[in-house]
Amino acid sequence: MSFRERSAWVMACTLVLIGGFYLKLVIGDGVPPSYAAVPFVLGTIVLSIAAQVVLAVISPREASSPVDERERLVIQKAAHFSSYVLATGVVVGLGAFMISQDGMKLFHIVLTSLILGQTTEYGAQIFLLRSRV
Amino acid sequence: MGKPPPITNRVRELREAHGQMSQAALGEAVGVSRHTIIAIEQARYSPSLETGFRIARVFNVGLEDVFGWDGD
Repeated sequence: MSFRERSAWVMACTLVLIGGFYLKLVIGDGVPPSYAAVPFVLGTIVLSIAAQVVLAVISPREASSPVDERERLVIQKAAHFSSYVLATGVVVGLGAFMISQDGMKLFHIVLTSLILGQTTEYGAQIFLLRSRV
Repeated sequence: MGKPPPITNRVRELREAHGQMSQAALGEAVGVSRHTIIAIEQARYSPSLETGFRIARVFNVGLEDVFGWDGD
């Protein structure tokens, strides 16, 4: 498994874990987003940095080498896929707001779309790195 | 996964004929990762023209001695 793929796995798992926990808090348990948002952001940043440092220590040479042409193409294609997920979520959120006038619903839908979009991006990177680009 | 790409290559064959050169060594010589060389050999990725020329130069052969066209 290449360093880039391991990195994508780490980021995808981080987002699923922490994003899922955040959504469970605000949607499931009714915790106000303002209370849950800071731990969510900090948790994502700290966990992803820590995991990337560990990966870099395990494979220092791969970690320090620049992204090559194939990896660059994978990143671009994955970002393209994730943009559809994010855009769909934003449009759905806007539609929901127009119907319900509920700003919190809009907030949750947009944030969920962001989490799903980023998870899609890393999932797409993993898929493309293993298959044909 | 769909049809394989129409570009074929002899990268693995040439690499092994050049003193069993490793994928990592070839990757370093042409400026791509070992995993990209693996992807090229497995026909999962068609390299850019520049990388194709660099690979050919490593083996001291022409581009068409490394890559072939299997399309229509």
